[in-house]
Amino acid sequence: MQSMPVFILKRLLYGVLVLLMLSFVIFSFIRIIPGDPVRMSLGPTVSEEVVQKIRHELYFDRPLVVQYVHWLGGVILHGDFGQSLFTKRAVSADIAEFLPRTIELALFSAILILVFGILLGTISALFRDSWLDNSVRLLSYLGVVTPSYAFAIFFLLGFAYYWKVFPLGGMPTLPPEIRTTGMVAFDALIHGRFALLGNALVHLFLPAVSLSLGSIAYQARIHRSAMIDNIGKDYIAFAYVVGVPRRIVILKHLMKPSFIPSLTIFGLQVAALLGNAFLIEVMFRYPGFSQYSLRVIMAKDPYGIVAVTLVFGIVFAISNILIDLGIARLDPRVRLRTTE
Amino acid sequence: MRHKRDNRSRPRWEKFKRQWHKFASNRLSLLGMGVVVLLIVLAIFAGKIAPYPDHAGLYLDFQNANQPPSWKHFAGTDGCGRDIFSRMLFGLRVSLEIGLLVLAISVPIGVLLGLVAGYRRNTWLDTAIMRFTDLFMAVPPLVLALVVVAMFTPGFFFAAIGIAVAWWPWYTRLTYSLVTSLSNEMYVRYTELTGAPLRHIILKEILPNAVSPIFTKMSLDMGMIIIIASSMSFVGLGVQPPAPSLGSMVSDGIKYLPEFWWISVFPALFIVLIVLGFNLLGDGLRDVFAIEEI
Repeated sequence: MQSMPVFILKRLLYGVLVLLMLSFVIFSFIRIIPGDPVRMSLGPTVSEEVVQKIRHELYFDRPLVVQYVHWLGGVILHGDFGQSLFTKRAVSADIAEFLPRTIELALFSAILILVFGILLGTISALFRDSWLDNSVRLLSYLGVVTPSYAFAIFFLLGFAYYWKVFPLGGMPTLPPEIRTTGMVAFDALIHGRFALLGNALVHLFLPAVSLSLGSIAYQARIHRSAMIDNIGKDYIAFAYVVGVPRRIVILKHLMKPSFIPSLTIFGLQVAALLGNAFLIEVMFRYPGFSQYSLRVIMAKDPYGIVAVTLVFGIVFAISNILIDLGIARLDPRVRLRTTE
Repeated sequence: MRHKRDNRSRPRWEKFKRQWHKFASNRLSLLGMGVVVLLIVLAIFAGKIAPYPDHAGLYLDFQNANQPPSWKHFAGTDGCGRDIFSRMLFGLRVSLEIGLLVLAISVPIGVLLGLVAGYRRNTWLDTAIMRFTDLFMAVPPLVLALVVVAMFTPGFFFAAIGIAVAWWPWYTRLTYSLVTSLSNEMYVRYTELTGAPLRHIILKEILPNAVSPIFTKMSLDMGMIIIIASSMSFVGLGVQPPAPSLGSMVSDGIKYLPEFWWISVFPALFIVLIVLGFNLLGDGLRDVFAIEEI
């Protein structure tokens, strides 16, 4: 029917289309809402001439479509997302500064989710109905219903205030001379600054754990039930009968199909991470993109808001496509359907 | 007449009894239902149960500020000297109200669109509705809700609107998948042959058979919505002070950590309890109705 590259290309095109529509909807939203967005974000103390001048500079005095096309042209041609009225500089500069830190936090959490979620789910399924399984299930139930900021409070009280093992929050600044990606721990690693790397990891630990615990719990639950579904299947019994060693049955024949539902959920979890990062970044005073987004949203900064939703949308879309690719690799039915 | 109705309602009653038996055989589901009923009672009678009902709003008593938990104040007092336990009860009421309002807005819209798109599958209407739905699922729900609220005025009502804007697509998706499998059923095909109007087929034939999964999802979503609403008041874009909300109580307490830990710990634990109750109840319903994935 269609080959893999065509499939990916179609997904990408559709993703871009959705994001274009979304940014247009947000733009029209900003214009439709009563009140002047420029006045609202500059506050009542600024003089009318200044507001008019900025309105003109930001294309707010021209029709919506003209403003949108102008903005879109800037994004596509120069990667320019417009001016932020809140930080008084280009939105793209803000993104470049804040986004890498949040990506780093999210990556760290995503690794924790994948490793511990799958590990706990597997253990739980293999020792089904034992005390081990029951305690994992109980803990994962509690994990799912606890909001990430509640974890953050408990960890702050325990590990930062009481035992003082981890810092209260913040993140060491990245010296400009070693800035490559903007991710502090990653840049420190590739430039061999191990003291900075250690410091960054210590600062990342509590935020990443608070952010990922709920998702680890959910991932474990999904992986457990996926494994249990497959354990009862005939082909597993057959594999044992023909003498395939237990280790290989588990690792190859049981794990692989169980990853299909698990990966789908993982994609949703990674997307949810970005949303939850808002509160975690506030609590740990982590200078990331979510905290920036929050300030921009609160300040009603028009170009900032559009850029923030767009960036979240792009990250969302990319993670979805990656997950789909992963599933296509694992699931021969999907793979055959796309490559036939 | 009366006799006839009894005959008709008998199988339904029997079915309900069977389902209840199945539900009640799981202790955790019963526990969830107990917690939810208790919470609803607490929320309705918050004004009567709370030891200090006037502490819900603007109330200052700096002599009693930051008191640790005691018999007089079960959960201690906050920086203004207000009884935290009383405020938690009123915060619970606000949380449940927001949850219900979000569901009341997003479920009818989402379900209706899902019904129409699913029944008119592979037409331009289906494409239009489902693509429109994708638009609202392209960003995390909390981000979308915050953006919507920020454009209007932060507060109870717009917080609910903001979450509902992010929430209805999930009901469209769910209903869509239910309808696609139901519309091939024989009874739907036969009704079509009788020339029944679309409205009748969708509302009278398909919808009744899609109700239990939708209902179960509502119970499971209640917990998620309460977490999102509390997150919004946590960052200051939800229910506005002095009205009590669990999220803002938690965030207010952060600056008093670690000495006055009870200010944020008790409201946070209360949110956990609320969400736990609704999730246990929802999981129990899911088992009864034998719904695989929501």
